[in-house]
Amino acid sequence: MSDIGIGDRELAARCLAGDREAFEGLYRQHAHRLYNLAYRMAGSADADDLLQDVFLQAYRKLGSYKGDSSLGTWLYRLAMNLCLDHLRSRQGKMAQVTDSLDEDNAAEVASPERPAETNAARLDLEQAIEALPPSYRATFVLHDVEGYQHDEIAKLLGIAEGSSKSLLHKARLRLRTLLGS
Amino acid sequence: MDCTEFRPALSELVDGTLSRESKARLESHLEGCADCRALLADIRRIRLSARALPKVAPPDSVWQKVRADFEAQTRQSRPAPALHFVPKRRQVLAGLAAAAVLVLAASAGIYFMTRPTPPAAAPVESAAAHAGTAQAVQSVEAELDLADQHYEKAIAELDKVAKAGQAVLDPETAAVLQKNIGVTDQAIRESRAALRSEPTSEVAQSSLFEALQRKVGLLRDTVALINEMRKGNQAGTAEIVGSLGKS
Repeated sequence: MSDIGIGDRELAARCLAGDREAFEGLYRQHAHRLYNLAYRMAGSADADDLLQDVFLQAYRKLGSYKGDSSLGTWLYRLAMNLCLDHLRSRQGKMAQVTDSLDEDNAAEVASPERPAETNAARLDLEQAIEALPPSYRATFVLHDVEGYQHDEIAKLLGIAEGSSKSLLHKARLRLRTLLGS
Repeated sequence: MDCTEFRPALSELVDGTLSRESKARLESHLEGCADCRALLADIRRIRLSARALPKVAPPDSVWQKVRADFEAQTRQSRPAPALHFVPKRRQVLAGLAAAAVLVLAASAGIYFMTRPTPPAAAPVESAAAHAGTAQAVQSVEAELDLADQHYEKAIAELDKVAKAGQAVLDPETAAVLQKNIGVTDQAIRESRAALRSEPTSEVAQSSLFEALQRKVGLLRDTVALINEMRKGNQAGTAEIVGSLGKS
């Protein structure tokens, strides 16, 4: 692809200028990672639509891209916000995600005598992730599935690093319950 | 022994983010607590399972839809600029400007001959009305400044790309582009001067944004032309050069 290696700002400007080749370069470079995020956050049924929406919104918002972060990070943040919006609207609880990002209601800990592996077949991990509340899901997907560190997650979600650690722990406890119940 | 004190640290132990002291305390607790050991083992298993989830690739059909969206957006924006957010912003601003003009006309009896429908209400002079008008005008001016800045930013970015690739243009085409850009720059200067003398004039506002749009369009064509020339696409080059002659 001719666009590989060119600066992000130039790539953004070319996309804005209606350069289809540049836009395809942008898509090919980032679609895979963004699709995985959408797939884990929203589930397989909605991942295609979400990825399409990410790139439509990206084209519309590229004018606001200042080059402060890489285009990849900018796109990832945009995708995460769209995923959270999607979950919000699906749940019909508009304020829940923002409110719950710092919530401190610990998930119930599954009783240790019923470890996760016992009934794992009843609900596999992918299904269990889909059953997590949005804030737990976002943190778990970013950390345990995608491999992000807490400082990066804090920036992406606009929360404190300590909240990221706390949410991750609660997400794992909730998953343990879901997988072991 | 209170396990709840130690449980939040189990995840940190698995992730390797626990301090040495906390780790020593937790490990000491774990030696005597089977429940916490079981929980630790489950957290490790969940983490490993998550890392092992297969990567998924987007189906080709998504790119087809994304491409169709992109083409529809760029078609919509011709001859206006590809910066879709700017025209949208401008629609809002036009509404705000029109509202401000109406407020002005109603409160101070100012009649804009460019407006097709004069205000029906009789002019009412009052200090409150003047204050409201001044606020509305200031608000519109601030919004217009913001929109202007968006255009200028886009123009600066496109200009940089266009200048960087200008070497591939033949002198004749470069001269045509330069001439067109010069004409547009003159229109921008004149519109700005008109706006300075009459900040609430809708005509002056429209003229400025139309001139800015034309400049973005010209720069966009320049970048597209450079791309076509780099690719050696003679048909694409000829098409763009032809459209430049018409503009």
